[in-house]
Amino acid sequence: MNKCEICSAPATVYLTQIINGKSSKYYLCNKCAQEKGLLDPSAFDLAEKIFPSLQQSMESQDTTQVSHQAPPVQSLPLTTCPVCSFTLEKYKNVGRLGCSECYRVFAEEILPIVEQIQPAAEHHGKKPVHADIRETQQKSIQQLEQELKVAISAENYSKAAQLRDLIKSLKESSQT
Amino acid sequence: MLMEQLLNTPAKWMTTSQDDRDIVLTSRIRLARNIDKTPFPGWATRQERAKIWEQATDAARTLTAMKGAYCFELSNMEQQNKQLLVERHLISRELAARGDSSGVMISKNQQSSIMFNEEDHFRIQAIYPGLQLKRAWTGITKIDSELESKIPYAYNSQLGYLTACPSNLGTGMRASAMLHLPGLIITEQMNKVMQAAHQLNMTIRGLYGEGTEATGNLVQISNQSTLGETEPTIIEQMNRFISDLCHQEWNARKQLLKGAPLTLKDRVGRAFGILTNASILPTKEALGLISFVRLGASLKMLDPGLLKEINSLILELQPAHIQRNQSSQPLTSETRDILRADIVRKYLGRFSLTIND
Repeated sequence: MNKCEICSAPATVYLTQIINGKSSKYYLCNKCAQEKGLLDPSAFDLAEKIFPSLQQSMESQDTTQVSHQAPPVQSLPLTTCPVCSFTLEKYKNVGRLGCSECYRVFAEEILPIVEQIQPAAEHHGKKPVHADIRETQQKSIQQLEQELKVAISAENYSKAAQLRDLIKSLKESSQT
Repeated sequence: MLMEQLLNTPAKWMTTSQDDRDIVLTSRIRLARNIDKTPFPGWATRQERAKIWEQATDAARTLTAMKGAYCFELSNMEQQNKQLLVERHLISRELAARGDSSGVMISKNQQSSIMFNEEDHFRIQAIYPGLQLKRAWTGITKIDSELESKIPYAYNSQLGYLTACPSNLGTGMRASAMLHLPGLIITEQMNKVMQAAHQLNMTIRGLYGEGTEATGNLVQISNQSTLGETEPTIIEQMNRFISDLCHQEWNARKQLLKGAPLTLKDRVGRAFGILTNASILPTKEALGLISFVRLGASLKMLDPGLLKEINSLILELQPAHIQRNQSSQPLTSETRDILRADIVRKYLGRFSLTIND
Protein backbone atom coordinates (compact mmCIF):
# COMPACT_ATOMS: atom_id res chain seq x y z
CA MET A 1 0.00 0.00 0.00
CA ASN A 2 1.16 3.53 -0.74
CA LYS A 3 1.98 5.85 2.13
CA CYS A 4 0.67 9.37 2.68
CA GLU A 5 3.22 11.79 1.29
CA ILE A 6 2.72 14.18 4.25
CA CYS A 7 2.60 11.98 7.34
CA SER A 8 3.47 8.47 6.01
CA ALA A 9 0.25 6.91 7.29
CA PRO A 10 -1.39 4.44 4.87
CA ALA A 11 -2.74 6.46 1.94
CA THR A 12 -6.44 6.18 1.15
CA VAL A 13 -6.83 9.21 -1.12
CA TYR A 14 -5.12 9.35 -4.44
CA LEU A 15 -4.93 12.42 -6.60
CA THR A 16 -3.75 13.33 -10.07
CA GLN A 17 -2.99 16.93 -10.83
CA ILE A 18 -2.21 18.34 -14.24
CA ILE A 19 -0.15 21.45 -14.61
CA ASN A 20 1.00 22.59 -18.05
CA GLY A 21 0.26 19.17 -19.47
CA LYS A 22 2.44 17.36 -16.92
CA SER A 23 0.66 15.08 -14.52
CA SER A 24 1.77 14.62 -10.93
CA LYS A 25 0.37 12.02 -8.59
CA TYR A 26 -0.21 12.32 -4.88
CA TYR A 27 -1.02 9.77 -2.23
CA LEU A 28 -2.63 11.09 0.94
CA CYS A 29 -4.21 9.69 4.08
CA ASN A 30 -7.72 10.75 5.02
CA LYS A 31 -6.55 13.09 7.75
CA CYS A 32 -4.09 15.03 5.61
CA ALA A 33 -6.52 15.14 2.69
CA GLN A 34 -9.06 16.71 5.05
CA GLU A 35 -6.59 19.22 6.39
CA LYS A 36 -5.74 20.24 2.85
CA GLY A 37 -9.43 20.77 2.24
CA LEU A 38 -9.63 18.09 -0.41
CA LEU A 39 -12.51 16.36 1.29
CA ASP A 40 -14.50 19.55 1.67
CA PRO A 41 -18.15 18.50 1.27
CA SER A 42 -18.87 21.09 -1.41
CA ALA A 43 -16.01 19.82 -3.52
CA PHE A 44 -16.94 16.29 -2.71
CA ASP A 45 -19.83 15.97 -5.15
CA LEU A 46 -17.56 16.58 -8.05
CA ALA A 47 -14.75 14.48 -6.70
CA GLU A 48 -16.76 11.38 -5.93
CA LYS A 49 -17.77 10.99 -9.52
CA ILE A 50 -14.16 10.78 -10.48
CA PHE A 51 -12.94 8.85 -7.48
CA PRO A 52 -15.72 6.60 -6.22
CA SER A 53 -13.32 5.12 -3.67
CA LEU A 54 -13.21 8.52 -2.02
CA GLN A 55 -16.85 8.28 -1.12
CA GLN A 56 -16.36 4.93 0.55
CA SER A 57 -13.48 6.17 2.64
CA MET A 58 -15.58 9.15 3.73
CA GLU A 59 -18.49 6.99 4.71
CA SER A 60 -16.39 4.63 6.77
CA GLN A 61 -14.99 7.36 8.96
CA ASP A 62 -16.57 9.31 11.79
CA THR A 63 -18.01 12.41 10.15
CA THR A 64 -17.81 14.48 13.34
CA GLN A 65 -14.07 14.58 12.79
CA VAL A 66 -14.43 16.65 9.66
CA SER A 67 -12.73 19.89 10.38
CA HIS A 68 -14.99 22.84 9.70
CA GLN A 69 -11.98 25.09 9.68
CA ALA A 70 -10.74 23.45 6.51
CA PRO A 71 -9.83 26.13 4.00
CA PRO A 72 -12.24 26.47 1.09
CA VAL A 73 -11.06 24.67 -2.00
CA GLN A 74 -9.78 27.10 -4.59
CA SER A 75 -9.63 24.71 -7.49
CA LEU A 76 -10.19 21.03 -7.22
CA PRO A 77 -7.47 19.18 -9.11
CA LEU A 78 -9.71 17.74 -11.81
CA THR A 79 -8.26 15.23 -14.18
CA THR A 80 -8.57 16.74 -17.63
CA CYS A 81 -6.73 15.71 -20.76
CA PRO A 82 -4.36 18.54 -21.74
CA VAL A 83 -4.75 17.73 -25.44
CA CYS A 84 -8.52 17.46 -25.82
CA SER A 85 -10.01 18.59 -22.45
CA PHE A 86 -11.78 15.27 -22.00
CA THR A 87 -12.64 14.22 -18.44
CA LEU A 88 -12.99 10.78 -16.90
CA GLU A 89 -16.51 11.62 -15.89
CA LYS A 90 -17.40 11.75 -19.60
CA TYR A 91 -15.93 8.31 -20.14
CA LYS A 92 -18.32 6.93 -17.56
CA ASN A 93 -21.22 8.24 -19.62
CA VAL A 94 -20.16 7.37 -23.14
CA GLY A 95 -17.61 4.55 -22.83
CA ARG A 96 -15.30 6.23 -25.35
CA LEU A 97 -12.19 8.32 -24.73
CA GLY A 98 -11.46 11.81 -26.04
CA CYS A 99 -8.17 11.28 -27.90
CA SER A 100 -5.11 9.04 -27.96
CA GLU A 101 -3.41 11.11 -25.26
CA CYS A 102 -6.27 10.28 -22.84
CA TYR A 103 -4.87 6.76 -22.51
CA ARG A 104 -1.71 8.24 -20.96
CA VAL A 105 -3.43 10.90 -18.85
CA PHE A 106 -6.04 8.50 -17.42
CA ALA A 107 -3.80 5.43 -17.42
CA GLU A 108 -4.41 4.66 -13.74
CA GLU A 109 -8.16 4.53 -14.25
CA ILE A 110 -8.39 3.14 -17.79
CA LEU A 111 -5.89 0.27 -17.55
CA PRO A 112 -8.00 -1.70 -15.02
CA ILE A 113 -10.98 -1.32 -17.39
CA VAL A 114 -8.87 -2.55 -20.31
CA GLU A 115 -7.83 -5.57 -18.27
CA GLN A 116 -11.48 -6.35 -17.61
CA ILE A 117 -12.61 -6.27 -21.23
CA GLN A 118 -9.50 -7.63 -22.93
CA PRO A 119 -7.84 -11.00 -22.24
CA ALA A 120 -4.39 -9.42 -21.98
CA ALA A 121 -2.86 -6.01 -21.29
CA GLU A 122 0.03 -6.06 -23.72
CA HIS A 123 -0.08 -5.60 -27.49
CA HIS A 124 1.69 -8.26 -29.54
CA GLY A 125 0.38 -7.47 -32.99
CA LYS A 126 1.47 -5.29 -35.86
CA LYS A 127 3.76 -2.36 -35.08
CA PRO A 128 3.45 0.75 -37.20
CA VAL A 129 7.00 1.58 -38.33
CA HIS A 130 6.79 5.34 -37.99
CA ALA A 131 4.91 5.52 -34.70
CA ASP A 132 7.35 3.03 -33.22
CA ILE A 133 10.32 5.23 -34.15
CA ARG A 134 8.49 8.28 -32.79
CA GLU A 135 7.87 6.55 -29.48
CA THR A 136 11.52 5.54 -29.12
CA GLN A 137 12.59 9.12 -29.87
CA GLN A 138 10.19 10.53 -27.28
CA LYS A 139 11.49 8.08 -24.71
CA SER A 140 15.08 9.06 -25.33
CA ILE A 141 14.17 12.76 -25.12
CA GLN A 142 12.55 12.14 -21.75
CA GLN A 143 15.64 10.30 -20.60
CA LEU A 144 17.94 13.13 -21.75
CA GLU A 145 15.75 15.68 -19.98
CA GLN A 146 16.21 13.68 -16.80
CA GLU A 147 19.98 13.72 -17.31
CA LEU A 148 19.82 17.46 -17.92
CA LYS A 149 18.12 18.00 -14.56
CA VAL A 150 20.82 15.96 -12.85
CA ALA A 151 23.57 17.90 -14.61
CA ILE A 152 22.05 21.24 -13.57
CA SER A 153 21.63 20.23 -9.95
CA ALA A 154 25.24 19.01 -9.97
CA GLU A 155 26.21 22.38 -11.46
CA ASN A 156 27.86 20.62 -14.38
CA TYR A 157 26.96 23.40 -16.77
CA SER A 158 29.05 22.39 -19.76
CA LYS A 159 27.36 18.99 -19.82
CA ALA A 160 23.98 20.66 -19.28
CA ALA A 161 24.54 22.89 -22.31
CA GLN A 162 25.46 19.91 -24.45
CA LEU A 163 22.38 18.03 -23.34
CA ARG A 164 20.17 21.05 -23.92
CA ASP A 165 21.39 21.36 -27.53
CA LEU A 166 20.97 17.65 -28.13
CA ILE A 167 17.38 17.68 -26.80
CA LYS A 168 16.59 20.70 -28.92
CA SER A 169 17.84 19.09 -32.12
CA LEU A 170 16.04 15.81 -31.34
CA LYS A 171 12.78 17.65 -30.75
CA GLU A 172 13.14 19.53 -34.00
CA SER A 173 13.89 16.42 -36.02
CA SER A 174 10.96 14.53 -34.50
CA GLN A 175 8.60 17.28 -35.56
CA THR A 176 9.57 17.18 -39.19
CA MET B 1 -23.06 10.37 -61.33
CA LEU B 2 -20.36 8.48 -59.45
CA MET B 3 -22.90 7.15 -56.99
CA GLU B 4 -25.04 5.76 -59.82
CA GLN B 5 -22.02 4.05 -61.32
CA LEU B 6 -21.17 2.46 -58.00
CA LEU B 7 -24.71 1.30 -57.33
CA ASN B 8 -25.16 -0.12 -60.82
CA THR B 9 -22.16 -2.39 -60.43
CA PRO B 10 -22.43 -4.45 -57.27
CA ALA B 11 -19.09 -5.93 -56.19
CA LYS B 12 -18.09 -9.41 -57.26
CA TRP B 13 -17.68 -10.52 -53.65
CA MET B 14 -21.31 -9.61 -53.13
CA THR B 15 -22.84 -11.50 -55.99
CA THR B 16 -20.67 -14.52 -56.69
CA SER B 17 -20.26 -17.58 -54.54
CA GLN B 18 -16.87 -19.13 -53.67
CA ASP B 19 -18.23 -21.93 -51.53
CA ASP B 20 -19.70 -24.99 -53.30
CA ARG B 21 -21.56 -25.99 -50.19
CA ASP B 22 -23.00 -22.51 -49.80
CA ILE B 23 -21.87 -22.07 -46.19
CA VAL B 24 -19.31 -19.23 -46.01
CA LEU B 25 -20.61 -16.23 -47.96
CA THR B 26 -17.99 -13.58 -47.26
CA SER B 27 -14.87 -12.87 -45.19
CA ARG B 28 -14.23 -9.40 -43.91
CA ILE B 29 -11.54 -7.62 -41.89
CA ARG B 30 -11.66 -4.10 -40.54
CA LEU B 31 -8.96 -2.09 -38.82
CA ALA B 32 -9.58 0.85 -36.49
CA ARG B 33 -6.92 3.56 -36.80
CA ASN B 34 -6.58 7.08 -35.43
CA ILE B 35 -4.47 10.18 -35.84
CA ASP B 36 -2.10 10.82 -32.93
CA LYS B 37 -3.10 13.48 -30.36
CA THR B 38 -6.25 14.43 -32.24
CA PRO B 39 -9.75 14.28 -30.70
CA PHE B 40 -11.65 11.12 -31.67
CA PRO B 41 -14.67 11.85 -33.94
CA GLY B 42 -17.21 11.46 -31.12
CA TRP B 43 -15.47 14.14 -29.04
CA ALA B 44 -14.09 16.44 -31.76
CA THR B 45 -15.80 19.75 -32.52
CA ARG B 46 -17.35 20.37 -35.93
CA GLN B 47 -14.30 22.33 -37.06
CA GLU B 48 -11.93 19.66 -35.82
CA ARG B 49 -13.91 16.98 -37.62
CA ALA B 50 -13.74 19.01 -40.84
CA LYS B 51 -9.95 19.26 -40.47
CA ILE B 52 -9.68 15.52 -39.83
CA TRP B 53 -11.82 14.82 -42.92
CA GLU B 54 -9.42 16.93 -45.05
CA GLN B 55 -6.27 15.33 -43.66
CA ALA B 56 -7.69 11.79 -43.78
CA THR B 57 -9.16 11.88 -47.27
CA ASP B 58 -6.10 13.67 -48.70
CA ALA B 59 -3.90 10.86 -47.41
CA ALA B 60 -6.30 8.08 -48.45
CA ARG B 61 -6.64 9.41 -52.00
CA THR B 62 -2.94 8.79 -52.61
CA LEU B 63 -3.13 5.10 -51.65
CA THR B 64 -2.41 2.58 -54.40
CA ALA B 65 -5.55 0.62 -53.56
CA MET B 66 -7.66 3.76 -53.84
CA LYS B 67 -6.75 4.75 -57.40
CA GLY B 68 -9.97 5.85 -59.07
CA ALA B 69 -11.89 5.24 -55.84
CA TYR B 70 -15.34 6.59 -55.03
CA CYS B 71 -15.50 9.08 -52.17
CA PHE B 72 -18.66 10.35 -50.53
CA GLU B 73 -19.27 12.71 -47.66
CA LEU B 74 -22.44 11.77 -45.80
CA SER B 75 -23.90 15.26 -45.65
CA ASN B 76 -24.01 15.24 -49.48
CA MET B 77 -25.76 11.88 -49.68
CA GLU B 78 -29.43 11.10 -49.94
CA GLN B 79 -30.85 9.01 -47.13
CA GLN B 80 -31.73 6.23 -49.55
CA ASN B 81 -28.20 5.95 -50.92
CA LYS B 82 -26.80 5.69 -47.40
CA GLN B 83 -29.19 2.84 -46.77
CA LEU B 84 -28.10 1.15 -50.02
CA LEU B 85 -24.46 1.23 -48.94
CA VAL B 86 -25.44 -0.23 -45.55
CA GLU B 87 -27.32 -3.06 -47.27
CA ARG B 88 -24.22 -3.73 -49.36
CA HIS B 89 -22.05 -3.83 -46.21
CA LEU B 90 -19.91 -1.01 -47.61
CA ILE B 91 -20.64 1.32 -44.67
CA SER B 92 -21.82 0.65 -41.13
CA ARG B 93 -25.18 1.66 -39.76
CA GLU B 94 -23.30 3.81 -37.30
CA LEU B 95 -21.59 5.77 -40.08
CA ALA B 96 -24.91 6.21 -41.90
CA ALA B 97 -26.30 7.89 -38.78
CA ARG B 98 -23.51 10.49 -38.72
CA GLY B 99 -23.43 13.81 -40.54
CA ASP B 100 -20.88 16.49 -41.42
CA SER B 101 -17.32 15.43 -42.24
CA SER B 102 -18.05 11.73 -42.01
CA GLY B 103 -17.91 9.60 -45.10
CA VAL B 104 -16.42 6.76 -47.03
CA MET B 105 -13.92 5.97 -49.77
CA ILE B 106 -14.62 2.81 -51.74
CA SER B 107 -12.03 1.23 -54.02
CA LYS B 108 -12.95 0.76 -57.66
CA ASN B 109 -13.43 -3.00 -57.29
CA GLN B 110 -15.31 -2.40 -53.99
CA GLN B 111 -13.03 -4.88 -52.27
CA SER B 112 -11.70 -2.32 -49.83
CA SER B 113 -13.15 0.78 -48.28
CA ILE B 114 -12.21 3.34 -45.66
CA MET B 115 -14.78 4.99 -43.44
CA PHE B 116 -13.77 8.41 -42.07
CA ASN B 117 -14.92 9.88 -38.78
CA GLU B 118 -17.01 6.90 -37.77
CA GLU B 119 -16.21 5.91 -34.18
CA ASP B 120 -12.51 6.21 -35.09
CA HIS B 121 -10.78 8.49 -37.59
CA PHE B 122 -10.21 5.56 -39.95
CA ARG B 123 -12.03 2.28 -40.31
CA ILE B 124 -10.29 0.35 -43.08
CA GLN B 125 -12.21 -2.60 -44.47
CA ALA B 126 -11.55 -5.45 -46.91
CA ILE B 127 -14.13 -8.01 -48.05
CA TYR B 128 -13.62 -11.22 -50.05
CA PRO B 129 -16.09 -13.94 -51.10
CA GLY B 130 -15.94 -17.31 -49.32
CA LEU B 131 -13.55 -18.14 -46.49
CA GLN B 132 -10.55 -15.96 -47.33
CA LEU B 133 -9.60 -14.24 -44.08
CA LYS B 134 -5.88 -14.72 -44.71
CA ARG B 135 -6.13 -13.07 -48.10
CA ALA B 136 -8.19 -10.26 -46.61
CA TRP B 137 -5.45 -9.70 -44.02
CA THR B 138 -2.70 -9.62 -46.68
CA GLY B 139 -4.72 -7.06 -48.61
CA ILE B 140 -5.67 -4.83 -45.71
CA THR B 141 -2.29 -4.74 -43.98
CA LYS B 142 -0.75 -3.39 -47.18
CA ILE B 143 -3.27 -0.54 -47.30
CA ASP B 144 -2.72 0.11 -43.59
CA SER B 145 1.09 0.28 -43.90
CA GLU B 146 0.84 2.65 -46.83
CA LEU B 147 -1.57 4.89 -44.94
CA GLU B 148 0.75 4.87 -41.93
CA SER B 149 3.53 6.39 -44.02
CA LYS B 150 1.26 9.42 -44.53
CA ILE B 151 -0.57 9.72 -41.21
CA PRO B 152 0.96 9.83 -37.71
CA TYR B 153 -0.98 6.97 -36.14
CA ALA B 154 -2.07 6.93 -32.51
CA TYR B 155 -0.09 4.04 -31.08
CA ASN B 156 1.90 2.99 -28.05
CA SER B 157 3.89 -0.16 -27.56
CA GLN B 158 1.88 -1.37 -24.58
CA LEU B 159 -1.69 -0.84 -25.79
CA GLY B 160 -1.05 -1.03 -29.53
CA TYR B 161 -3.26 1.04 -31.82
CA LEU B 162 -5.20 3.51 -29.68
CA THR B 163 -8.93 3.61 -30.41
CA ALA B 164 -11.90 5.61 -29.15
CA CYS B 165 -13.31 2.54 -27.41
CA PRO B 166 -10.96 0.41 -25.27
CA SER B 167 -12.63 -2.71 -26.69
CA ASN B 168 -10.72 -2.15 -29.97
CA LEU B 169 -7.27 -1.47 -28.46
CA GLY B 170 -4.27 -3.46 -29.60
CA THR B 171 -4.68 -4.71 -33.13
CA GLY B 172 -7.81 -2.60 -33.73
CA MET B 173 -8.83 -5.57 -35.84
CA ARG B 174 -12.23 -7.16 -36.23
CA ALA B 175 -12.20 -10.17 -38.55
CA SER B 176 -15.55 -11.68 -39.46
CA ALA B 177 -17.19 -14.16 -41.77
CA MET B 178 -20.80 -14.42 -42.84
CA LEU B 179 -22.18 -17.94 -42.72
CA HIS B 180 -25.36 -19.67 -43.80
CA LEU B 181 -26.14 -22.28 -41.11
CA PRO B 182 -29.60 -23.77 -41.71
CA GLY B 183 -28.48 -27.30 -40.76
CA LEU B 184 -27.15 -26.35 -37.34
CA ILE B 185 -30.10 -24.04 -36.64
CA ILE B 186 -32.78 -26.58 -37.65
CA THR B 187 -31.11 -29.37 -35.68
CA GLU B 188 -30.93 -26.98 -32.71
CA GLN B 189 -27.19 -27.09 -32.29
CA MET B 190 -26.62 -23.34 -32.18
CA ASN B 191 -26.41 -23.10 -28.39
CA LYS B 192 -23.50 -25.49 -28.47
CA VAL B 193 -21.89 -23.48 -31.27
CA MET B 194 -22.38 -20.20 -29.39
CA GLN B 195 -20.75 -21.63 -26.28
CA ALA B 196 -17.77 -22.94 -28.22
CA ALA B 197 -17.41 -19.57 -29.94
CA HIS B 198 -17.55 -17.76 -26.61
CA GLN B 199 -14.80 -19.93 -25.18
CA LEU B 200 -12.60 -19.09 -28.15
CA ASN B 201 -13.25 -15.36 -27.70
CA MET B 202 -15.52 -15.10 -30.71
CA THR B 203 -19.03 -13.74 -31.05
CA ILE B 204 -21.91 -14.75 -33.28
CA ARG B 205 -24.43 -12.15 -34.43
CA GLY B 206 -27.10 -11.56 -37.07
CA LEU B 207 -26.82 -10.45 -40.68
CA TYR B 208 -26.27 -6.73 -40.13
CA GLY B 209 -24.04 -6.87 -37.06
CA GLU B 210 -24.66 -5.86 -33.51
CA GLY B 211 -28.21 -6.21 -32.28
CA THR B 212 -29.59 -7.85 -35.41
CA GLU B 213 -31.08 -11.33 -35.51
CA ALA B 214 -30.12 -14.32 -37.62
CA THR B 215 -32.72 -13.73 -40.33
CA GLY B 216 -32.52 -16.31 -43.10
CA ASN B 217 -30.21 -18.47 -40.97
CA LEU B 218 -27.37 -16.07 -41.77
CA VAL B 219 -24.91 -15.28 -38.99
CA GLN B 220 -21.72 -13.26 -38.58
CA ILE B 221 -18.82 -14.68 -36.61
CA SER B 222 -16.14 -12.31 -35.39
CA ASN B 223 -13.26 -12.11 -32.92
CA GLN B 224 -14.21 -10.54 -29.62
CA SER B 225 -10.89 -9.33 -28.24
CA THR B 226 -8.21 -7.29 -29.90
CA LEU B 227 -5.42 -7.01 -27.34
CA GLY B 228 -2.73 -9.59 -26.61
CA GLU B 229 -2.52 -11.70 -29.73
CA THR B 230 -1.06 -11.07 -33.17
CA GLU B 231 -3.35 -10.61 -36.15
CA PRO B 232 -2.23 -13.83 -37.90
CA THR B 233 -2.86 -15.80 -34.69
CA ILE B 234 -6.38 -14.43 -34.36
CA ILE B 235 -7.07 -15.15 -38.03
CA GLU B 236 -5.68 -18.66 -37.77
CA GLN B 237 -7.94 -19.39 -34.78
CA MET B 238 -10.95 -18.08 -36.64
CA ASN B 239 -10.07 -20.06 -39.74
CA ARG B 240 -9.87 -23.24 -37.72
CA PHE B 241 -13.15 -22.56 -35.92
CA ILE B 242 -15.01 -21.65 -39.11
CA SER B 243 -13.65 -24.65 -41.05
CA ASP B 244 -14.76 -26.85 -38.21
CA LEU B 245 -18.17 -25.18 -38.22
CA CYS B 246 -18.51 -25.76 -41.98
CA HIS B 247 -17.81 -29.41 -41.38
CA GLN B 248 -20.47 -29.59 -38.66
CA GLU B 249 -22.97 -27.69 -40.78
CA TRP B 250 -22.45 -30.08 -43.67
CA ASN B 251 -22.89 -33.05 -41.36
CA ALA B 252 -26.10 -31.55 -39.99
CA ARG B 253 -27.46 -31.12 -43.53
CA LYS B 254 -26.59 -34.71 -44.44
CA GLN B 255 -28.13 -35.88 -41.20
CA LEU B 256 -31.36 -34.05 -42.08
CA LEU B 257 -31.37 -35.62 -45.53
CA LYS B 258 -30.76 -39.08 -44.13
CA GLY B 259 -32.84 -38.91 -40.95
CA ALA B 260 -35.93 -37.09 -42.18
CA PRO B 261 -35.81 -36.98 -45.98
CA LEU B 262 -39.55 -36.55 -46.37
CA THR B 263 -39.80 -33.68 -43.89
CA LEU B 264 -36.86 -31.97 -45.55
CA LYS B 265 -38.32 -32.45 -49.04
CA ASP B 266 -41.61 -31.09 -47.78
CA ARG B 267 -40.01 -27.97 -46.24
CA VAL B 268 -37.87 -27.25 -49.30
CA GLY B 269 -40.78 -27.86 -51.68
CA ARG B 270 -43.13 -25.65 -49.69
CA ALA B 271 -40.56 -22.86 -49.51
CA PHE B 272 -40.01 -23.06 -53.28
CA GLY B 273 -43.75 -23.17 -53.85
CA ILE B 274 -44.46 -20.06 -51.80
CA LEU B 275 -41.54 -18.11 -53.24
CA THR B 276 -42.55 -18.86 -56.84
CA ASN B 277 -46.23 -18.11 -56.25
CA ALA B 278 -46.55 -15.47 -53.56
CA SER B 279 -47.76 -11.96 -54.45
CA ILE B 280 -46.89 -10.26 -51.16
CA LEU B 281 -43.57 -11.05 -49.53
CA PRO B 282 -42.14 -9.31 -46.44
CA THR B 283 -38.29 -9.32 -46.13
CA LYS B 284 -38.11 -11.60 -43.14
CA GLU B 285 -40.41 -14.22 -44.62
CA ALA B 286 -38.56 -14.11 -47.94
CA LEU B 287 -35.16 -14.58 -46.30
CA GLY B 288 -36.45 -17.45 -44.16
CA LEU B 289 -37.88 -19.29 -47.17
CA ILE B 290 -34.85 -18.59 -49.36
CA SER B 291 -32.71 -20.26 -46.71
CA PHE B 292 -34.67 -23.51 -47.29
CA VAL B 293 -34.30 -23.18 -51.04
CA ARG B 294 -30.53 -22.70 -50.60
CA LEU B 295 -30.44 -25.72 -48.32
CA GLY B 296 -32.31 -27.81 -50.91
CA ALA B 297 -30.05 -26.65 -53.73
CA SER B 298 -26.86 -27.38 -51.78
CA LEU B 299 -28.14 -30.94 -51.28
CA LYS B 300 -29.04 -31.12 -54.97
CA MET B 301 -32.76 -31.45 -54.23
CA LEU B 302 -33.15 -28.32 -56.35
CA ASP B 303 -31.03 -27.18 -59.28
CA PRO B 304 -27.70 -26.15 -57.61
CA GLY B 305 -27.37 -23.57 -60.39
CA LEU B 306 -29.72 -21.30 -58.49
CA LEU B 307 -27.04 -20.77 -55.82
CA LYS B 308 -24.80 -18.97 -58.26
CA GLU B 309 -26.51 -15.62 -57.99
CA ILE B 310 -28.59 -16.17 -54.88
CA ASN B 311 -26.51 -13.61 -52.96
CA SER B 312 -27.36 -10.89 -55.42
CA LEU B 313 -31.03 -11.85 -55.08
CA ILE B 314 -30.75 -11.41 -51.31
CA LEU B 315 -29.31 -7.97 -51.92
CA GLU B 316 -32.10 -7.00 -54.31
CA LEU B 317 -34.72 -7.89 -51.68
CA GLN B 318 -33.53 -5.32 -49.16
CA PRO B 319 -35.81 -2.29 -48.73
CA ALA B 320 -33.47 0.39 -50.14
CA HIS B 321 -32.62 -1.79 -53.14
CA ILE B 322 -36.30 -2.22 -53.99
CA GLN B 323 -36.90 1.49 -53.58
CA ARG B 324 -33.95 2.27 -55.85
CA ASN B 325 -35.49 0.63 -58.92
CA GLN B 326 -38.71 2.59 -58.54
CA SER B 327 -39.68 6.20 -59.08
CA SER B 328 -38.44 8.77 -56.60
CA GLN B 329 -41.67 8.49 -54.62
CA PRO B 330 -41.05 6.72 -51.31
CA LEU B 331 -42.74 3.33 -51.26
CA THR B 332 -44.84 2.02 -48.42
CA SER B 333 -43.71 -1.26 -46.92
CA GLU B 334 -46.83 -2.93 -48.41
CA THR B 335 -45.82 -1.84 -51.92
CA ARG B 336 -42.29 -3.05 -51.29
CA ASP B 337 -43.64 -6.45 -50.26
CA ILE B 338 -45.48 -6.72 -53.59
CA LEU B 339 -42.40 -5.69 -55.59
CA ARG B 340 -40.27 -8.10 -53.58
CA ALA B 341 -42.58 -10.98 -54.48
CA ASP B 342 -42.18 -10.03 -58.19
CA ILE B 343 -38.38 -10.03 -57.97
CA VAL B 344 -38.28 -13.43 -56.24
CA ARG B 345 -40.78 -15.00 -58.69
CA LYS B 346 -38.71 -13.77 -61.63
CA TYR B 347 -35.47 -15.10 -60.22
CA LEU B 348 -36.67 -18.52 -59.05
CA GLY B 349 -39.12 -18.95 -61.93
CA ARG B 350 -36.15 -19.81 -64.14
CA PHE B 351 -35.53 -22.97 -62.13
CA SER B 352 -37.70 -26.03 -61.87
CA LEU B 353 -38.53 -28.19 -58.92
CA THR B 354 -36.74 -31.51 -59.39
CA ILE B 355 -37.41 -32.56 -55.87
CA ASN B 356 -39.34 -35.79 -56.48
CA ASP B 357 -37.28 -37.09 -59.37
